[in-house]
Amino acid sequence: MVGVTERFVLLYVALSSAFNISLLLLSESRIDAYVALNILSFYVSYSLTRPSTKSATMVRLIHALLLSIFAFLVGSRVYEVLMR
Amino acid sequence: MNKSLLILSSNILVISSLILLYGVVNQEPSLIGVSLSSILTGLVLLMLSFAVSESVINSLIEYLSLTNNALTSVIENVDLLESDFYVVRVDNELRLVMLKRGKPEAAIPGLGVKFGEPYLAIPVENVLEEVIQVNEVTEKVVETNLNSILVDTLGLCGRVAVKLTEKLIRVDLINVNKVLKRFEKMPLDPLKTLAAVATARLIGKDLKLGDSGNAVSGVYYVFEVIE
Repeated sequence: MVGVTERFVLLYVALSSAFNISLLLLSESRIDAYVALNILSFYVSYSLTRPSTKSATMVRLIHALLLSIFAFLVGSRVYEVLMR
Repeated sequence: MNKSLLILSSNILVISSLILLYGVVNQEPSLIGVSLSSILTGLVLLMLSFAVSESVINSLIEYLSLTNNALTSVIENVDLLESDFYVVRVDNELRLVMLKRGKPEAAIPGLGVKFGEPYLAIPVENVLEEVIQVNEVTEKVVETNLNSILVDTLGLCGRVAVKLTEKLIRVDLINVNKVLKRFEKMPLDPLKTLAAVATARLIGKDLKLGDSGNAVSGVYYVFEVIE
């Protein structure tokens, strides 16, 4: 039987690989696009499978890490547009 | 901690770091993007390996606490805290019997009184049903089988060591699972119960717990074989 955690890992790895391959085939050279889509695939997989956790602190840390990376990527893009 | 997730994430991190190095050296932005994305996946899985647990395990732990509380109250009320612990076959059914004096024969399941002494008998015929009696009772055979049941299947501990003499079997549970450690002091803790039932089923004989205690890296139980 596949557990919730295994389902999450399968979905997350499959989604992020699919995004990476698609971007590679599109010859995308912006590094932040790869990272942003990876973060998106994490949240899609997480909300669909909801893996059960025993350490809420570690999960909060993961969310904080991913959200701060995402905020930085979006912020730098906005800054770039404003500075044009 | 989820070990398989830890190994998976470490592999992802190592491989994607190598790809990142290759991408930086050869100035390939797409390769750098893929490797950074994979590093992030590895990092998330690494952090998650310290946090995840199957939800069914959490509910079973809570249920185990509840049943243990109920049984401990009963055992305290009938003054069986300092009793002897047996795994015996009565009427072709395997039973756990706790009683202070006398022999566990003819112990009817449930709470009872025999010759003025209270006892508690729990049927365990449906516990570890898949464990079959070994043909040859040697130290190596019992140890291999107990490792297969208690370590590989049940995850009770990291390793099982067995010492066998004519009438005594010492079972050492090394690196006991942290989840089960909190139940260690309970009168009917999962470690003692499962180790006793598995050993009794393997050797096909009745057992009495003679001694138990904490060893350097785990717990040990000495069972007396009842002929």
